[in-house]
Amino acid sequence: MEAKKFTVEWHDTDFLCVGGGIAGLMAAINAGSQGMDCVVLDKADTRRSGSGGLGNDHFICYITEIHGDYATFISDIMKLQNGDRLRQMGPEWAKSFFMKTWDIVRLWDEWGISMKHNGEYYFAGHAVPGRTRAFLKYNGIDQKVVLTKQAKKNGVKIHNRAMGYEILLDEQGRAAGVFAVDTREYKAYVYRAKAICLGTGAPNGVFPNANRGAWAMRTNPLNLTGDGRAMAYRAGAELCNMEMPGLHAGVKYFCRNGQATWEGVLRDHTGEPIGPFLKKPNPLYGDITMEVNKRHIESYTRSARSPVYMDMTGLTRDQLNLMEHWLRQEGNSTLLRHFKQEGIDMIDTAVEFSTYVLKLPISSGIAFNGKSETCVPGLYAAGDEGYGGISGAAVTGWWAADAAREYVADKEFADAALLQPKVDECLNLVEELCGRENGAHWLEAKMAMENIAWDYCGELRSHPMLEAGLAHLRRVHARAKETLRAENPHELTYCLGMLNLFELAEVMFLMADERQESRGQHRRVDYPLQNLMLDGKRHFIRKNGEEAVMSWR
Amino acid sequence: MPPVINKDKCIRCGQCVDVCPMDVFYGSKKGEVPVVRYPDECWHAEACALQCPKDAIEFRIPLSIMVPFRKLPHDDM
Repeated sequence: MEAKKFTVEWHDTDFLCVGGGIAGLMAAINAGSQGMDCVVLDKADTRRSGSGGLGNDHFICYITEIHGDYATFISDIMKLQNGDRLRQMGPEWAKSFFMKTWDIVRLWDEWGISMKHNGEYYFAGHAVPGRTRAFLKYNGIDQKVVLTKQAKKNGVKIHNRAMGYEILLDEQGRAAGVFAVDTREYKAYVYRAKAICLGTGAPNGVFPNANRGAWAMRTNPLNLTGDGRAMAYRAGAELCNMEMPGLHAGVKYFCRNGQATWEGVLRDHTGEPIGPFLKKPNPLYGDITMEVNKRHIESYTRSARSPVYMDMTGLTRDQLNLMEHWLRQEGNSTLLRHFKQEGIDMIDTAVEFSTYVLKLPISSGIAFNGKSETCVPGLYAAGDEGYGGISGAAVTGWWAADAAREYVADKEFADAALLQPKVDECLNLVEELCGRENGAHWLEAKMAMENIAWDYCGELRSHPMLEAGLAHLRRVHARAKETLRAENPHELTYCLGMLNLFELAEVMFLMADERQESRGQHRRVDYPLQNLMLDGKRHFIRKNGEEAVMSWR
Repeated sequence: MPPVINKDKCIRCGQCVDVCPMDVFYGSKKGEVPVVRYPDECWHAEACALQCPKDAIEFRIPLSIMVPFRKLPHDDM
């Protein structure tokens, strides 16, 4: 067995954004506009990477002239799925966030992301009939192409096809750099940085896919493997609520985000609506039935009352054309291509919907404050951590750069010699993964992890199962470290991604065991009640040496 | 195999290879028709097709992601 040799390049930058999604690009654009030297690292290509890479069509925001009184606005928002996410960030954070969204809308419009429909701001979807409509429909299909262009215009350097894997700390425990690998060549990069923003998105994996025949068809791209969360955790940052799974519903088998873009009514096979909100399609509000309870469709399946259909009957041809336009802006071009190939015309055809499977959620992850600061000095987090969503990513990324600019003012680069031991450790790991003649493919490791997560920490949880599952997960994780094998740099990034996901899965088990109550999709058979004393509290975990320390606040 | 490249239309510019978020074209060489090395990793979001200047990319939708549907009695408006 001969280890593969990697070449190593060292670079310096004031502000390093790991992950070039909406958050990373917005952080970089803001940093660049303030004259900071800034680099964005992206595993793929910032023009199309991440959950927002192929577009979005709705952007939650508050515009005083349209929404009027903020108290009414926020009261309506808190009742829907965004409410849970906002609740854990706190009312002050929520207000600062919403007050900033309007600025972002105007900036995006100015840069070339069209935020208007027929010259007007048009709010629709994700809403209860008659109540506040908070989601601005926008033409986001090329949003990241535009943001990438804007970042470059502001002097930001974009380093595509490089995966950040490890945060390097200085002797005082401050974030001082990142070890990264090239996804196409046997090359590693060490970026010394005075401040670092993590925006690597909502991780996939941990749980098995709803569609067993298509393991890359997930609501978020397969290569989002929670790298930022795992490296933040290893660097001593706090993670939050990692045991609270997310759940989504949408078109059956063609697993995708974007439920609010559909303008039809969810009906059972007899034609009866399955929710109380709409009797006929209403493009302004959409059918929020599945948002009130994502398991509602599943309950039909489990009681043999399915299929459940998204039925657009009643929309005019013009309305349907507009809905298809929004589906395209949301990144669903292939779905529409499929409909065309199969002769599916939604004017007279209903498509089946299903509840997908559990996933690591947005609205959990790296804990950060109102300035996007983590508890590690010089380390910031943004995007699908905390609140998430497109506008959440845009605002938190922007704030991270504001805070980082102040922070770096009196900082120097760390001594390279101090960073070298960690760099050597990372190099050994990647060279071993690429040097093994025989071993486990990353997909084998992924399937093993998914089986364990689902069987022991899935829909129903209990202490004995969590304890036994964690013990087995750790054994498999240890064996994966010893045996994972990458055929080339592309597979190396997935091997590293799997090691990150194993770490996050362990965190999920630990936190699930500690949360002795049932809440949301976290269902404990040994603690079936919601513990009201935990309302409004967040659950944190951080590493203290090799020990995991958990707290509530 | 999700993206299918029409060799007659393809001008070997490599833009699809540059932009694919999943790098399914990994290993494709500059100046040659791109090869779909990792078809199972395709997210079916069409970054490649949107980027292609010659409309040379088609998709074969995998059988496992075909969407179930049913026709309804309805007058076309």
